[in-house]
Amino acid sequence: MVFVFMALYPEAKPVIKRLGLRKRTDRTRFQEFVSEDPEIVLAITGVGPVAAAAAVAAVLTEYGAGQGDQLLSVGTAAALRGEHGSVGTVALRGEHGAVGTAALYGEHGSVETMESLCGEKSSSIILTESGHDFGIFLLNKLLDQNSDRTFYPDMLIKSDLMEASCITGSMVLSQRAAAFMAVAAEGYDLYDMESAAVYQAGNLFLGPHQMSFIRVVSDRGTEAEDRKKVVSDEGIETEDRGQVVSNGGIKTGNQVRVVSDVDTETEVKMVMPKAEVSYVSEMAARVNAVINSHVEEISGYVEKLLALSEKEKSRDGISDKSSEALVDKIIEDGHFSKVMQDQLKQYVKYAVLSGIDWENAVRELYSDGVLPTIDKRGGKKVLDRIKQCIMN
Amino acid sequence: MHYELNRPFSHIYVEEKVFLDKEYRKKAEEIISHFPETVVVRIGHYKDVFNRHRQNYVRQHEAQALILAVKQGTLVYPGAKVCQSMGNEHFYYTSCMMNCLFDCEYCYLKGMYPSGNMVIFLNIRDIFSEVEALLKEHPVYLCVSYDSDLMAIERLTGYVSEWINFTNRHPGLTIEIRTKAGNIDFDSLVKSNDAEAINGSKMDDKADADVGHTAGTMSFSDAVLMGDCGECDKAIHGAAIVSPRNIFAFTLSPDYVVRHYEHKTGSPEGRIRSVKKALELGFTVRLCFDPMIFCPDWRNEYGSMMDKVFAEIPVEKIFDFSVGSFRLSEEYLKNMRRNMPDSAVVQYPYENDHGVYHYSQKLTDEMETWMVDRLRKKLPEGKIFRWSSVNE
Repeated sequence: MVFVFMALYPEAKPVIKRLGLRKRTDRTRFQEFVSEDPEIVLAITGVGPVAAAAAVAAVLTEYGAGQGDQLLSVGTAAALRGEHGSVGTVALRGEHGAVGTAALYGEHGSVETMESLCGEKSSSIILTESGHDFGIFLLNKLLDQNSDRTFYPDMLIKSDLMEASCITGSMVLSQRAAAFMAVAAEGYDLYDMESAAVYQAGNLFLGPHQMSFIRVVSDRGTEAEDRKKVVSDEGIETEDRGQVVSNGGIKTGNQVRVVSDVDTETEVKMVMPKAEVSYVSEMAARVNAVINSHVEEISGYVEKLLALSEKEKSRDGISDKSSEALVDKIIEDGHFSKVMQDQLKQYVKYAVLSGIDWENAVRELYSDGVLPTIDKRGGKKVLDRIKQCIMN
Repeated sequence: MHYELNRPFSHIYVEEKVFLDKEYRKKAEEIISHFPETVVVRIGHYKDVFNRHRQNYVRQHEAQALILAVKQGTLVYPGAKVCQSMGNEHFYYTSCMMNCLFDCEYCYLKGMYPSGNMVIFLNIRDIFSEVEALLKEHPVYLCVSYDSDLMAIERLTGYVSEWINFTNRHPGLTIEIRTKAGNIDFDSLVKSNDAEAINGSKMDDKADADVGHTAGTMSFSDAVLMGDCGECDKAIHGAAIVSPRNIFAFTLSPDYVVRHYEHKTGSPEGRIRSVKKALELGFTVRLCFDPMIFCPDWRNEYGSMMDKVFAEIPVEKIFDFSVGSFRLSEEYLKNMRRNMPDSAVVQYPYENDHGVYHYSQKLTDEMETWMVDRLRKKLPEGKIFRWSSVNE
């Protein structure tokens, strides 16, 4: 199963549509959209690390996530800029789609010798803006700004997506915070409010090889021109409004509304002061457009995760249903204890993997009247006979 | 739906400390330059990546990442009881690397380490210093390739060459280089020694010794097998300067075992060629029939292998022989069984004896006695070290 987590409904909408997911009407805590199988579950977490962690923990618990499952966190992020307008540590794709370089920045914020390790230097990344499209990234390094802990999802699947590092904060990315980060967390590429939290909550259920993080850059975070326009989904103080706008939302007096809370424009009109409606709608439309412009890459990645999940399931030693049924029958007919059951399963697992025809020996036991037995003692003899057949 | 995994070393994680030291940095640049398309990720400490929670060794090994780090704390350890000292009193081991490029299904590393990624420690010189301190007290027998196979990536690191140089200069030191590599390019190792001997340069001056392995760009497949490439059958020019205190220990396995369980390792023929070449050059050679792995018709499989060994290798020149059947700690096997449900060698129903899993005593005796008897027919008893008898 593949679990997709996204903060906002307007972000998720294009993905839901592309993957053909349907809303689960029996869920009210977090919105869930599932495929028919259901092999894909997409959940809307809400904005910020606490909401994200809570949703991830709740959904993974609900479905009993474990080995074989994959988690994908998708969302928007702000691009962080260095002093010189270039982005810090990032793996870049060259002009031809191949990985071009991994520019490593030294103490002084400039590209240093290590850059040459990875072949040709690439020009600074993503900020080839066209409309709202700043690029889509697979995250290879996540910094939790609050705890200062760094997390590294495994990068196992081959992908054409560029890679980037990301800081996750719980606060609105203010100009002051960005200036602080330029010093304290130099070298990071993106800023968001969920990814490190999703990793930490997800890691209670899944390993780093089961978690992927995709971020689409929606804005430049602290650029003046952006500040004067609209608030990004990551949330930035707006000078013209004189209000703090939270990540994906807006604060009016003591009331905070986030885009994830509102599904439709009608609902927006109901909950927002008239003056704010157009603004929130615009913001929702923007994150929607940003994700929509990369929905093919996102759905393509989900398909890869599905295939990976499928393969993982097929790795089990006794996947053959008839073998499983026969094992259950022997256990019952032979009055096997728990220890004997474990031993039998291990013998059978080995036999199946080694191509040993153990089932024939069991059929003989039945035809000879050895099975079923009247008690556990008889069962032990059966176990010995099966062992003899498999191990010799 | 389908997916591809990243090629090994598509991602290289580099510790902060590496950036701060000129020598480490240069070595890192040298290693990374072999992988022009790699993504380099800067990390605080190698354990931030290597020791993450809930990793899956096997999945990671399929798309293995590389970590370049500086090892701290104790660098040389007294040999563990479960390791064969081969009668040496001052038995130590060290790890310049963690994990292996080869992929033996039954390898204890798969149960011992939390991660399938490979770590290369760049401060080999610090290890040398620690060995020199020990040598002031007593002679040292040191296994340098225990938790890895140094020869597998000699073209990347040049570490085997450095160890040989170091050993040549320290009369009290004997090293064992254990490997499953085939067609080893001994010429380069020897040439490097020649050059050093001629120049009379000190160890410390050899920090950047070009052993002829690392020049140019290497494809991953080149790195994997140190040969089986047909390039190493060049004539040996000049007298080899090789100390017999350098012991090459080759693990030999039958075709069936190599084909089914020892992925990416040198072929049996390639290993035998390497044994012959090592003997020609004056290296001390040990042959390890350890671990012996049970397989269908094991007598014939091991019999064919021994026929080849006796036919092609002048066994009287072999220093000694090590014999032992598969054994593994309970904890490691538990980890391996969880991660490799589809591996017959891992799922074999071993017997648990005080926390150590092994074949039944009967099978253990049969296999080991069979091998010892074959060796006894051609070799003196004193050259044969049987694992069981060593530890009784």
